[in-house]
Amino acid sequence: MTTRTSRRIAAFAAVPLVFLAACSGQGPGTAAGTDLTIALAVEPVSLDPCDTQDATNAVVLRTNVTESLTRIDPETGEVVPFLAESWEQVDPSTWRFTLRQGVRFHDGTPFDAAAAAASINRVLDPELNCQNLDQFPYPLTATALDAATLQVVSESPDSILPLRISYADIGAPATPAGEKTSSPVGTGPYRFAERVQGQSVTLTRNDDYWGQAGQATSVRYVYREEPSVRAGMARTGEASIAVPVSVQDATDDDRTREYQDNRVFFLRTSTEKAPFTDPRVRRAAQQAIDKQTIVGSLMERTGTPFDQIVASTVNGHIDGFTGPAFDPAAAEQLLRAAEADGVDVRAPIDLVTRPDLFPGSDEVIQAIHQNLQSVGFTVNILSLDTDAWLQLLRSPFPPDQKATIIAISHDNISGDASFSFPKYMAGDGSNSTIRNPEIDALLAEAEQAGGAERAALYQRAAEIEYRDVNAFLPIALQSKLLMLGPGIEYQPNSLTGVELSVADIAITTG
Amino acid sequence: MTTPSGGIPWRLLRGSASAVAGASWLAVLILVAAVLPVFVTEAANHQDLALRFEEPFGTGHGIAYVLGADSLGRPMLLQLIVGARTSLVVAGLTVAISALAGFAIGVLSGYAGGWLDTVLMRLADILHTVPSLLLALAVLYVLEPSITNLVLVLAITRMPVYLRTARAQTLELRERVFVESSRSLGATNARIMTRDIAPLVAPTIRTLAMLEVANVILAAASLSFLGIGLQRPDVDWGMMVADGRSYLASAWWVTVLPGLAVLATALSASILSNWLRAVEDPTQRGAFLSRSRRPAGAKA
Amino acid sequence: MLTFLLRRLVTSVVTVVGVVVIVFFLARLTGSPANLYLPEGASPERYEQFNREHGFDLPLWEQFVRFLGGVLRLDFGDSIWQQRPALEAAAEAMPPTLLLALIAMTGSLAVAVPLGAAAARRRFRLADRVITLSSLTTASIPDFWFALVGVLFLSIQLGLLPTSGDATVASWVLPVATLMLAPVGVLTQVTRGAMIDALGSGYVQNARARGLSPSRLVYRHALRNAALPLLTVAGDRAAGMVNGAIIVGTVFAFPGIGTLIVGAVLNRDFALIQASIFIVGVAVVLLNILVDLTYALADPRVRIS
Repeated sequence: MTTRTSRRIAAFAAVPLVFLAACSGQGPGTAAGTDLTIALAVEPVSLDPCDTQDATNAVVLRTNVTESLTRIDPETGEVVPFLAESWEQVDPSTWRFTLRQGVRFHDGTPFDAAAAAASINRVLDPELNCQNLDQFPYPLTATALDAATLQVVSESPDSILPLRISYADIGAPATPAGEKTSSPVGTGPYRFAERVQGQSVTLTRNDDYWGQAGQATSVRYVYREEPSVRAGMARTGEASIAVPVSVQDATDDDRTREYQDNRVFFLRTSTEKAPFTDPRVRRAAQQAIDKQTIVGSLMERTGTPFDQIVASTVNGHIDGFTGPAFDPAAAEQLLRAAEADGVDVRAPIDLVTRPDLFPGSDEVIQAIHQNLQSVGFTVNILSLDTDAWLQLLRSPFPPDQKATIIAISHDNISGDASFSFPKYMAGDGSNSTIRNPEIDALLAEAEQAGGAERAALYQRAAEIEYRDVNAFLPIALQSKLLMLGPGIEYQPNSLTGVELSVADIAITTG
Repeated sequence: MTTPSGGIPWRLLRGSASAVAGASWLAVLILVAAVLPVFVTEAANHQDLALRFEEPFGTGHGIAYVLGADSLGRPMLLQLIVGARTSLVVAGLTVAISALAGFAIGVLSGYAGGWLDTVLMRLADILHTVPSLLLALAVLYVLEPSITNLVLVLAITRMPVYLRTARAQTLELRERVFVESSRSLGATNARIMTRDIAPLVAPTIRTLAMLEVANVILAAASLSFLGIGLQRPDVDWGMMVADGRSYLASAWWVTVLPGLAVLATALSASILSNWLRAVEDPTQRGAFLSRSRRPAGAKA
Repeated sequence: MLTFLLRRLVTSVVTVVGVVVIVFFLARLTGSPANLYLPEGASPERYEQFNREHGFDLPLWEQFVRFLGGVLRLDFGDSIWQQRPALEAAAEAMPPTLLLALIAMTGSLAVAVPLGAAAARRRFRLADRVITLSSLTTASIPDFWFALVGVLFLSIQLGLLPTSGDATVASWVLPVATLMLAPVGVLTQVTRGAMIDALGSGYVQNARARGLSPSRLVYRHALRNAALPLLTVAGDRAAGMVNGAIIVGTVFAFPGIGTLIVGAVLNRDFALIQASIFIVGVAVVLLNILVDLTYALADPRVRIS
């Protein structure tokens, strides 16, 4: 019934256009030969190797154009060699990396320790305002000991430096030191060819690549904001890969692939504004949300109900921990108790989100809104654009701001909680509304520790948050979908969102 | 001469089937939008995920679900009713405010002439050139999205059309003999503008306003599509069309039904205004268009 | 004629300056861009540095004075989003929009004028009713909805057209059709109304009495009469195509100034907002002058003094 009716509508809408189409005499192009087209949602903002923290930039550059000394293995989450063959910790704040020999940049200059040092130090130049600087909270200095040995000294001990260094994409020595570049030169299997702003970025195969070369001779990235158009491009073969696609555009066959990028969707309450000043009220908000139903029916393949703010691959994840169950009666009771103690539980709250948080997020937020309203909160949905949303996400918060619940989709592909917890839980964290000395102490201690001890400390901090503070309302562990064009084979992994290696794409026909 | 008060000759309505249909649709709609939302808003906004994408014309879930349910299991029929009120209020207020303001300023500008005219016309040009999207973003960002602010933005961007039209007609009318005679009889400028000129400009403005109803509904819908319209649980038809668009292939009713509502309403308003123009004095027909944008001082 | 042109140019400059001033303040109402361009956890010093670098730390009036100084030299500063001169980015986006608007407007006129004329000649007959109803319908369809339905059925299900982009001639079909939607409806109505007017006027009645054939009447005199209102509405709609192009840009990823303005606003790129709207303003003003000049050509009764 559904399809027949929509066909009829199609026929109605199509009449005047078929004529025009017939005149123009051209059908849709196909991704012919070994030139790939990848349809992305957003255009990369910067092509500078030092701006790859932003996934929109990284997905084009990382492991295609630029490479780093170390990388994270998408299967195991371990830090593995990449442009560095091995490394050792000389003392608590000094690491030495032995670099791969015989690698050349796309412009022909050899890759050596001096080039690596220059590239890493460039990231740390505050004047340059690199996005990747965010991953290096402590000042550090890289120096070349000899052509193949790089020494990195950090100002304070850093047990996860090899992991951190995976965020420093290495650009050629020719990269300007004092300004950003828009034509990156790296060591990767594809070289940057052309960028037409607002339209596309093209990479061509680097035939002198040191590792396993890719099958495709070139790849063109195009940007399509509308999810259904993106998916349509893969279905018609106009694109080799469309990423991401939304659930309603997904197909049931093997063309739609699912992948996890360790991304968690959670809400953050403003603990310093009534009614969230009272932990009982925050607990009530948690119990008011029926995440099983909401996630199950609205997010479908793209989410699983979740009780923590980091995925199980992150060392701060507590195995086996479950949060309070959905219980609106208990929530109402908690609110009444708080109200009896003088908390203004009816104070108006803004439920802040942005339309592009994830595909379909607006509906999920509306469902949560209804849950919160029905236990007695006074909630108002506020859907903002990214800039306005950021104003409310990051401290310092506007002083005249109402109580807010802000929707956050946070990914941590590193496996280390230091890329999540200090930001969201520490008293001085940029996105934190938590002021808890105990958590602060644990986080500070964890920073200095390594291995199992570090993990245990992070988990203890998380446990205090989840049990006593309750500033977060975790909702779902997210998955993403991508769609493959005809004759394309690619198996996404946990890093696909930030490094879609073109060399891993196989062309089975054509 | 045209009926000076702008009165509508209802007797003639019977002659045109499409005009009757359009008028009835609008009448029913206004009635529904005025009366029903008070009773159904709560039920309309009630989500029931178990009924997500309930198909239309089923019988199992009562009259509210006769047109199916949307992506959150809200009854489409009730959503359409509540959306009708918002859409009509937004369209009605926007058109009323922009038409009245444009009308008043246009007559004043055309009658007064001189520097006042120059200043007002440049302002109209400027408003016309600033993209409505930027204005919308700035206003809705600073003042928070609400029906009032949406009306404000749309009214400002639609006003220049009326202003130009009213001014152009006034420019011509003020040279006419009857204006001269009023003046020689000692009538004040205010009196001439309100008694002599305004009634003759009014029918043109009214015709234009009815055509604009469709435009405004569509403009509000485009803002929703770009994510800067109203915020839930407020709902208008444009928002329903925009929200439902991702389900076009799987649940057509979610976006097609509100789309049809927009279409029917816009169409009715256009048909009625066409018909009104046709039954009025033929010399007035189309005249407003030929004079609306003539350059200042380029009068024949 | 020359004095008219000069006067128009002077008032146009006033308009463009007014637009630029309003846009300067409107843009700054949308909030500071610092958060978008600085990573999470950036220190207050880095925020300060960012604001200093882009002059956002200055008092608003001083920013404004500097901005006006720049405008006089046609220097709108660098786009922080695109990292290149703002005017260059805006100028680059203009040609596709102009071409698209030109094609869509020519197409609209080519469809609307014959339809409107046909309807006027067969007033109140079946053809008139069908044309009127369908033209009113096209003007009442939400453009983004039409665009998405077009992509879904013509491109994805039937495979007739590319879904998006501007690479081939075929990829222009849907964007042009989307942009034509409303103008076709409105222009058909305008043509019909003006021609009915003209056919009823004393002049045409006279000519008819003198034995001129009806078809020549229609095309010679009535159409000429329709030219003025047509030009007015077409000019107005052409100016509005910048807004319509936003939808086309969003759905079809069709490059152009509309998409650029949206991107600039969302990225709080004040320099680019100002430069793009300056260019749009200049284009609209030139278009208006062109429309006025064409008036004089189309209708000798309009004396330009």
